[in-house]
Amino acid sequence: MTTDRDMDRLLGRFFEAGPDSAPDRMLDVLADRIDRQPQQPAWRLDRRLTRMNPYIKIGAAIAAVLLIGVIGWNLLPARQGLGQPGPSATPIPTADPLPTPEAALAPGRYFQLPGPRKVSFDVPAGWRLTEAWSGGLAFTPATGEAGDSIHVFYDMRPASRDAACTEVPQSGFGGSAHELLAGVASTPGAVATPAQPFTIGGANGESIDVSMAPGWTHACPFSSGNPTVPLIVDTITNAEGPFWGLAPGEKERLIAFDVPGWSNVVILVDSLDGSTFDAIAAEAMPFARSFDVEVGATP
Amino acid sequence: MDRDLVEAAQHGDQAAFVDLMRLRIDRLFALAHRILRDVDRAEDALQDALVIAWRDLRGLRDPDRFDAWLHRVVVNECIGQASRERRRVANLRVLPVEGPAAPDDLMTLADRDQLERGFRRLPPEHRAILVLHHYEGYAPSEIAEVLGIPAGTARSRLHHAHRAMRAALDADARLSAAGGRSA
Repeated sequence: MTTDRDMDRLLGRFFEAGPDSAPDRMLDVLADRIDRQPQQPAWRLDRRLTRMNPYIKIGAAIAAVLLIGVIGWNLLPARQGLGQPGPSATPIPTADPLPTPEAALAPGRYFQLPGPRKVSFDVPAGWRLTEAWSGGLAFTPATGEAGDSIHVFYDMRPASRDAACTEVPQSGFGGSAHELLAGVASTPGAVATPAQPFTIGGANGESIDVSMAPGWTHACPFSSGNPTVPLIVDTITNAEGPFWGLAPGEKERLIAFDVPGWSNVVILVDSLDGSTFDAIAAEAMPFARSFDVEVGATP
Repeated sequence: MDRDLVEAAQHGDQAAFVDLMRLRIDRLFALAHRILRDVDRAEDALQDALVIAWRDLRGLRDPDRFDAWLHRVVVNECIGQASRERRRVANLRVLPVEGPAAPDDLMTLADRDQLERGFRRLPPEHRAILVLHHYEGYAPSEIAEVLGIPAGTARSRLHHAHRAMRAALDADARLSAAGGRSA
């Protein structure tokens, strides 16, 4: 029988073995790689912090990252699947829980458990998971450049249009996918394509492409003088949830669909300088079509 | 001093970033190696982690938190690397660890082999926690900070990892007592 003290001693010795210095070439290789890797703008990376000046804030809710686990989910009562209003859930393909953020993902089907819900989707080859929290997910796609990303947000609303860019929903819009995208498309400073129908498993959805209007100059307090157009915000007005908008040159596709018994899901495809928009939008569409959401009772 | 380098790197100074890494890369490589148990994979994971750190450095609000933040980036990349490897290699053949072994008359080759097998069977998150605790000397609260998980979760994972390692050792001991040999 191995005692605790034995185990501590053995593991201590075990980890002492092994190399203590990196190969000489590593710093040279690193210098070469960072020379080709631009840094992300700071205001895009301001996550998990409560201070106000981010454009996107994914705050302390990360502590509630809801990869609860398969067992907990399976203990829930009857579930309702996306596009299946009856109480009997249709089986979905086998899925794996998402790994730790900043991980490159093997292609396959994954799930996240935001509250008493199971959100499943197919991830193609080459994608990296960069964020997973109670309000959604973020990926960097294989075809994207630095700054390109694909996001999943839950329960979003059009952002306030006040001059101070306050992080609250704009009044007058409900929580349906149609109202959300209508609000985004009519946001001052935004130019949007007509909404296209988007159906997932019988659920109603729409898709629009949006960019900043030429000549738009209004800056927000947190954007260092750069023109900005806040577009969408979550419904928890504690300055910790997602708050997303447009910078000059940026192109975004918003795909939103209604989840019966819950709210909306938004898949946002973002090309920071617009040059890779067509490629990553094409890459994101099978991902968007693969979504399935099961809504269960509160545990 | 380091704070100046961090701030310079945040403003795009590549040389400052490389200087920061020059002071840390050996220790980070050793950490990556202890989690991944392979020189090549440790090098790959560390290179990728350091490029991610460079890419996202401007998002670090407090330069004084640089080391904790960098540790998180490196450990997360190692966990990701280990997760990918677990999918590819279902039945892992245990190879000797590269590099000089620690002088240790108390640990037999059989002990080390058993530990190696037990360690490689652990989920990557548990491997990382064992390394942070037994190699870096972190308390569960410090592990929680590095991994961005609640302290209770860190304690629980550490407990489970210890239990799994003990079970691996005891199972091998029983096999040896019965005259068998594990593959």
